[in-house]
Amino acid sequence: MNEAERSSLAALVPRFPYPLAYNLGRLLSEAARREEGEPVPLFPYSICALNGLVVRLAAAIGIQSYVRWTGARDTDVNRKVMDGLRAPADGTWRDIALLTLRVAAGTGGAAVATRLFEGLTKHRSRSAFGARSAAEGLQALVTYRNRLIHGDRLSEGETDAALSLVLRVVQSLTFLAEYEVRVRSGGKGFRLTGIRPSPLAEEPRELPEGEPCLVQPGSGEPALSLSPLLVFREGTPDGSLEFDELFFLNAGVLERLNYVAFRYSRPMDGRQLGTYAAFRRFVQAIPTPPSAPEPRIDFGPLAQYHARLFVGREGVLDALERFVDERPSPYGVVTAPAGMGKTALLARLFERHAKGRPRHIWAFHFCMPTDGRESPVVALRSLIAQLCDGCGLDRRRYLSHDLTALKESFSRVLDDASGSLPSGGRVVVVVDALDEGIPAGSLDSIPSVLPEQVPGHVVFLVSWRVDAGGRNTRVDRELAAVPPASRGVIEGASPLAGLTRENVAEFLSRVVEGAPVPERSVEAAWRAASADGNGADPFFLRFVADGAESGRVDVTRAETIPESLDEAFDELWMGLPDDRDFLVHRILSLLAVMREYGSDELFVDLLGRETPPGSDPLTAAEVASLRVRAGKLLVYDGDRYGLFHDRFRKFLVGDQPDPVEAALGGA
Amino acid sequence: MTTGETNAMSGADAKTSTKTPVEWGLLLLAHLWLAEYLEAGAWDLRLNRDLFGVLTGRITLGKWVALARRFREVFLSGKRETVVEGLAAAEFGEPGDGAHSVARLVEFRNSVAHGGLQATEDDERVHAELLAGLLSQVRGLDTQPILFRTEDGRLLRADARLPGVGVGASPVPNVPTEVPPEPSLQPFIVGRDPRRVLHLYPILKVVAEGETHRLVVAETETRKQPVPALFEREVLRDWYARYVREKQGNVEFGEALAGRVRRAVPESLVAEVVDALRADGVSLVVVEAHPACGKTGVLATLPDLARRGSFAASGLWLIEPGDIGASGLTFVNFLLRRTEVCLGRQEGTLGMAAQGWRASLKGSMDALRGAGRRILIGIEDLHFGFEAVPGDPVSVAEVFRALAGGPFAVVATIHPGRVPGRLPFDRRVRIPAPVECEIDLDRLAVSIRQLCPKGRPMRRRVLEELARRASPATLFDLCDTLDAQGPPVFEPEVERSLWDLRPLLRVEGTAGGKTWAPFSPALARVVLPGAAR
Repeated sequence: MNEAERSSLAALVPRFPYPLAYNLGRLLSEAARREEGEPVPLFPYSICALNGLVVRLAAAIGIQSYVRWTGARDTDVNRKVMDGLRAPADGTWRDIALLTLRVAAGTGGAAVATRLFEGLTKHRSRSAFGARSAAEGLQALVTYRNRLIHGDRLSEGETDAALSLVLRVVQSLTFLAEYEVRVRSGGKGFRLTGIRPSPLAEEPRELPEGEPCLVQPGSGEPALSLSPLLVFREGTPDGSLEFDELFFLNAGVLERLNYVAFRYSRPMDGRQLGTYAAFRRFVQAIPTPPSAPEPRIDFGPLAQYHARLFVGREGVLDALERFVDERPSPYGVVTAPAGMGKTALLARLFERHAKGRPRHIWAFHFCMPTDGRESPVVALRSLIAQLCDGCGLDRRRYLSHDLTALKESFSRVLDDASGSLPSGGRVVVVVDALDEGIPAGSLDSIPSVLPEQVPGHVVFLVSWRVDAGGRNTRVDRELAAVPPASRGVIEGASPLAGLTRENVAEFLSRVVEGAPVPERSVEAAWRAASADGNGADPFFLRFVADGAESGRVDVTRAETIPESLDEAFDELWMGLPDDRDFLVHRILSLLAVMREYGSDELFVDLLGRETPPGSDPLTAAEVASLRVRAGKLLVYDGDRYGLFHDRFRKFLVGDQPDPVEAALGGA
Repeated sequence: MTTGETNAMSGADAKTSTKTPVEWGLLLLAHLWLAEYLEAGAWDLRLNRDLFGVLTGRITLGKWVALARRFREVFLSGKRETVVEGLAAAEFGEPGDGAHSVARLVEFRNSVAHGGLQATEDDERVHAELLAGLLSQVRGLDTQPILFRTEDGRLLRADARLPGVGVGASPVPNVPTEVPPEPSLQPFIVGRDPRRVLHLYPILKVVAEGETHRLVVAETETRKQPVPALFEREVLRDWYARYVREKQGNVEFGEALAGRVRRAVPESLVAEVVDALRADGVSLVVVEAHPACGKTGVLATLPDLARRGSFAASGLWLIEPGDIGASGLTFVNFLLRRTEVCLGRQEGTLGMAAQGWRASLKGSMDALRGAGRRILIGIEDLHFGFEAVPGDPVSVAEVFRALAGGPFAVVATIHPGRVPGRLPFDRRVRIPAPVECEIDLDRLAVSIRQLCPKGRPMRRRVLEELARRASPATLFDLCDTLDAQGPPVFEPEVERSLWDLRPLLRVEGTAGGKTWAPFSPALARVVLPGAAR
């Protein structure tokens, strides 16, 4: 983008809707500082903030235009909108904006929606990241943001491209300068344009009370209310809200109504803003049927991740195959302490059999607290879909959103599958990590929906984590319906033992892609990994592999291999940034105690209270910029994140009981 | 410059934004320091290297402040007087001390620069007061005006009024006889002793625009010109030529290292290093010792060992934070130049690291292998060489790793626990802590200062507490004691302090059961107030 184009964007700042104008002005000034060689550490976040604002504003205009001009009669659109509002990320807002703008633009009445839709979708010459339109640009920026918040290392070139792209997106919205956001509030009026809200000379009596509206002064176009997606509040004399501010809906279900602002740095609850009644009316205006996304989960990427460095376990794999063939009991059980390779083992089976084998039909589910994979509804729908696909059955006869119906369907599909099996063939259902399939606070769990009666042609292979004593009381309780007599022990897999020295040598060789590994390195890794005398710990080896990838470890140099897992954790823990009074350490410690996923906003809430007087308030962007430096110590579920492994939790807080289990009296 | 002008510049009685005055005020101090340093003869080798390094790249306000801090330090340590009275009274805080007024001013200026974020009136007032407070410490700003002559010979005084960078000028009433006949449009300041004149040109200069005149700082020019005109000044020309030669690898640290050696190295230690170097396949030897415990002495013996052993040449390299030795590219150039000398080739035939350091280094190693020669290299304080310096694509530590298995045999010294991650080596020689009386307390004090900067007060608290104790402490012992002393501590912060202080501590036990103690009782003599030295 050339200087003249930048200047014309800067000229928009006083005329653009607030807080788009504020964020645009800030980004332009930060870009200038950055180009002069000054450090602007949060610059990528400023790009994302502007992008986040654009998609939210576009979605607000789109949704409200859609409701206003179509009466929200398309239940498919309604469902997508309401699903999206539950916990929308930038990508969701973008999709909602385009969807609703497209429908609203087709009605002929919604002028602003039509112009916005055209602005976003009009094809132009290809710009950064190959985007041909503003809409594609928004998508590329969402990808950029996701990589940023997940801690990927972004090059300066990528940030330059993202800057260019976000400015081009804003350029496509230039017509918004003809509009103003105005609000009538308590006998006064405010104009939400430029870098901050300003009072209007007269109360705009033509507007509904308390609802920010998009108006085009001097035109006949009717005002478009943006409430309750956008809410305006005046600054309060007591300082609880320091200045006049516009809030954007951040998460909207009736149980949890949450707003964010782009200058005021703390989130606001719907209770504080008094928007529940308006939101309830809004929800009622958008009737939604149950959702029906693709039920079959693709575990291919998970299996690939584990396959790259999978070594050994030949004996256990043979025992598993034998168990399936011989079916000494309906359930085959794999147990092991955390990190010993249960998931890798079952992922290996997935690699072998997911595509089907002439004799048996396989279905897999890997429980984990991401994408709803810990939910029994999600698990049963995915398993049913896999079995239907494998047996040529019509999915529609079995799929439902009701758990009771699903349990019945699951039993039915297991029965019906027998018709398509060859002689001696079996239906094999593999469910990994039952302990992760027990959602906190839920009455149902994945282990609790597994059938007590299993047809003779069906075999289940299940795994769960156990403590040092070989027990897991939560799984035992949830799996009570499956009698012990139905559970068969798989040789060498209850519990899984460590790897052999030969496995360690093969593992290291894979890490360096076949290059020779000195005997000293094998010995060092073996010694450290097998310190507890139970074979080599696969988790430690995986840690060495991660270290090699990040440059911390050189597998060909024995002295760079950590002497123990604790030592490796020590180095990582101590190497974390200590900015903001050890914020990253505090977040990780909280995650270790919570055992739930957290989010940047949550930690602003929890840790922002401890900000010393006189310091700047903690912001979500600041949490994000530090949190990504924890790198692989975190795993993500969308914008939420948790500790990457229970072994690290143990390192941080020791053998503390799971608070849920403790509350249930199981500890 | 009068107090009124200083206040105007600081924005204390102005309604306009404080951003420009902050920038101007800090730049003015930094430029006065630069002028003072050049006037005094630019005598400090390390500072000159820094100066060239900074001025040949993009320069920001933060870098000017860092330079000003260094100028002030060398003036104070050399007990030199400035022409501008009281210039040294304004101090710039320590690097990393975010609470210092200068750091706060830079932060404020950066956050509101370029008309971006709007500062509140409170922000403006607080920062205007900070700036006024800083400038008011420099008495000369009140008593010694910046003077210049116009092209027709009139003597004018530059008025440092808002907006700062472009300023007006006013006639000097009753021109004193001692004012020297400086060239026109070149500003200067006359000292209290009128024989001392501080020439500000070309660091600051005056631009005539018709009847009006503007004082401008060189900073605006250095952003455009890679090598500013001031390098051509007599006092810097030779230094600059030397700097360029040094960057090409023609640098010697032998003398600097010899100056650090306080006691003879035990023969047994030297023998251990010799044994390590003689072993098959050994090219990387690490010598690990606590600070001030004699590791430098081992390096100082290397040239002699090289002569007596099977090495064709040797070289010593010293890494200090911010100095030329911290540059990975310069280190590669150093190895290339050593190779050329060793093989009797002309300087530059093996190229320069900037053309691709790995390829250059490989060329050098291949050439040595081809000739069947080996070179012994000593690196002092490799723990300071893990960050690539700005502009370099490689750190010294990365180059060290790349030397594994090659014809360079490298002996590198480190402090225990000061290396990030795990360093590759073929042999490690550990130097035990000597008896207390053999520890160089001055060097120990330097290391303690480096490890306990002002911005990390917890480290100092932890170190003092450990020094007071008669026996080793666990993390929990320490936290309890520090909590009792108040304010309450965050356990990971104490743990992190212990981790960062490992060069000074003896650590025993394993995870969960570790104990920590000073590596020597000598530590208490340096860190505890009132302890006998």
